[in-house]
Amino acid sequence: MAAATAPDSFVKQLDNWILSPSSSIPELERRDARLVTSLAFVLVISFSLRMLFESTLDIVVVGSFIAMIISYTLSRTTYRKLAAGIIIALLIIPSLSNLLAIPDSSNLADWVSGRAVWLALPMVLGSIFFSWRGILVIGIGLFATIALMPNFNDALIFNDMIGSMAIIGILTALLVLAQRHRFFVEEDRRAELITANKALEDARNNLEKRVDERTAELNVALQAAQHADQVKSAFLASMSHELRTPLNSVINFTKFVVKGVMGPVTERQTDTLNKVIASGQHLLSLINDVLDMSKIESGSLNLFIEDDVNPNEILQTIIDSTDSLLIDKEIELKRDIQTELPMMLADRKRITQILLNVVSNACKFTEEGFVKVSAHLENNTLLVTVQDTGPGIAPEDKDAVFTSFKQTDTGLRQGEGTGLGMPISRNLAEAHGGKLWFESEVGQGTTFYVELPVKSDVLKAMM
Amino acid sequence: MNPVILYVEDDLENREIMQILVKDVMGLTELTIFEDSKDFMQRVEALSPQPEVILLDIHVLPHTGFEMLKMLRNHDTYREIPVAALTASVMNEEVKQLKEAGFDGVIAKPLDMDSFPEMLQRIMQGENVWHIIG
Repeated sequence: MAAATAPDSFVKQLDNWILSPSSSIPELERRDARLVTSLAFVLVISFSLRMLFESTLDIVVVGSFIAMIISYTLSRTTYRKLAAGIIIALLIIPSLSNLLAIPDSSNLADWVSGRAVWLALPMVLGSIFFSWRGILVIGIGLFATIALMPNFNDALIFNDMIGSMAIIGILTALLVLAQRHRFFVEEDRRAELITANKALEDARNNLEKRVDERTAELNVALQAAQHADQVKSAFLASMSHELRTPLNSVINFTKFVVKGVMGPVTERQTDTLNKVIASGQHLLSLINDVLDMSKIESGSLNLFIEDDVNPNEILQTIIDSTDSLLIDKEIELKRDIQTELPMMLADRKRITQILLNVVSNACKFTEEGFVKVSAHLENNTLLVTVQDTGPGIAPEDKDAVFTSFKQTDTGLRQGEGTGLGMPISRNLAEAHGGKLWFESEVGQGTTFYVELPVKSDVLKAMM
Repeated sequence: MNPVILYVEDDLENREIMQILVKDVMGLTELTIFEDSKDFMQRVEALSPQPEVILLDIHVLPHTGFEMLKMLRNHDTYREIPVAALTASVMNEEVKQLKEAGFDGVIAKPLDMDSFPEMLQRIMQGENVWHIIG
C-alpha cells in the first residue's frame, strides 16, 4: 500500500486524465447506446473508406456491415484492437503508396490536405481508445501541426475537409458518448459481474467446505462435551452416593445414642447430639440436591409414577412439618385447601419435594405476617398457591431464583441452601407436565404457583 | 412377634445399623446377615431356623439383589417368602425396576429407625410397600 502513496508519474497522471470519462456526459439506455454505437461506427468506417479510396456505395455497404457486426458482437478489448488495426491499416496502406509518390517537400501541405480525412482518423482512434479529452488532445495537436504548415490556407480550403471532419467529429463524439458511458461500461460490468459471480461461487463453495469442517469440529466438541457431561453426572452420582453412605451412618448412629439405645444420655448430651443430627440432615439434603440437579442436567431424571397420589395427604404432611420452621416466629399459617382433591397420577416423592420446597421457602423467608397455602382443582389441574408476606423478590433477582447455584441476596443472607431448591422444583414440576412460577413485589411478599396435571397421559405412559 | 430375618449387605456400617436397629431398638433376636451373595441359595437352605423375611441389598457381589430374588422365586420353598429390596437411591428411580422384578417392597437406605419397624411389619404382613418413607 505504501507504493500507492508515491506521487504518480507525469505520464500516468496524463493517462488518467485522458482516460477518465467525463462525468458531465449523460447516460443512455443500453439499447440506445448500442444503436448509436453501431450507427456511429457504420458511418465512421464508411466515410473513411469512401474518402480514402473514393469508392462506391459497395464499400460503404460492406463497411457498414462489418461495423455492425463489430459493434454488436465484440468485447471492448477486441473492439479496440480491431478498430486500432483497421485504422492503422487505413493509415499505413495509402501512406506507403503515397509516400513513394510524394514529389517534393513544398507539396507536403497539399499532400496532407489531400488526405485530410487522416486527421479525423486519429480522432476516431482517440475516441475509441480515450475520451473527450483524448479527442481534444489529439485534435488540437493535429490542427496545430496543420496550422504551422506553410500553405495553411490551401489546406483549409481544400475540398470538403472541414465538412468531413465535422461529420466525423460529431459521429465520433456520439461514438465516444455511447461507448464510454453505456455500452462498454455494460460490457465491463458484465465482465465484473462474471468475475464477481465466480468469486461468489468460490466463496460459497469455500463457505460450504468451512461449514462442513466447522460442523465436524462442533460435533467432535459436542461429543466431548456430552461425554464430559456424562462423566460429570456419573461422578456426581457416585460421589453423592459415597458421601451419603458414611453421612447416613453418622446420622443413624447418633440417633441410636440420642434415643438411649446405647444407654442413658443426659439432657445436654441429647441437645448436642440433636444438633449433630440436624447438621447431618442438612448436609444430606444438600448432597441430595446436587445429585438431583446432576440428574436433571444429564437428562437421567426418572419419575416413579403412581396413580394413587393423594394431594391432601401430602399437603397435610408438609404443613405439619412447617412447625419447626415457624418456631420463634410470629407467623400465621393460613390454609385454603379444597377437601377431597382427586387422586393424582404423579411421583409422590417428587410432588412432596416440590411443595415442601415452596412452602418451607415461604416460611424461611417470612419474618412476620402470614404464609397462606391454597390448593384447588381447576380443569383437571391442581393449582397450589403459596403466598407469603416476606421481603419479596426484586425484579433483577427474578432470574436468579430459577438458576442453579444462584441465590438472591436475601437467600444468601439466610446462609442456607445450595440455591438448587427452586431450579430442581421447577424442573420436577415441568417433568410432570406442570409449571412453577411466582409473582412478587418487594416489601409486599411473594406468591408461588405450582400447577400440576391431575391425570396426564404422558405420565400414565411412564407407569 | 419375633420374625426370622435374613439380611444380605456388603457394607459394614449398614450391617451394624441393622443389628442395632433390629436387636437393640426393636428387640428382635433372629437376625442373620450375609456379607456377600456367594453360594447364596446353599447358605439360605442351610439356615436354621429358616428365614421368614429376606432383605436384600441390590449392589452385592457376586450376585446382585435382582439375581438373588430370581433364585428365591425359582425355589419351591422360598417362592412366597416376603423379599424387600434395600436401596440407597435417594429418589424413586430404581423402584419401578424393583417392582417389575417381583420384590414385595422397598426399604430406603439409610435405614431410618423411626420408619423401619413399621415398614418391616407391613412387608411381613404381605403388603407391598413402595413408598419410601423418610
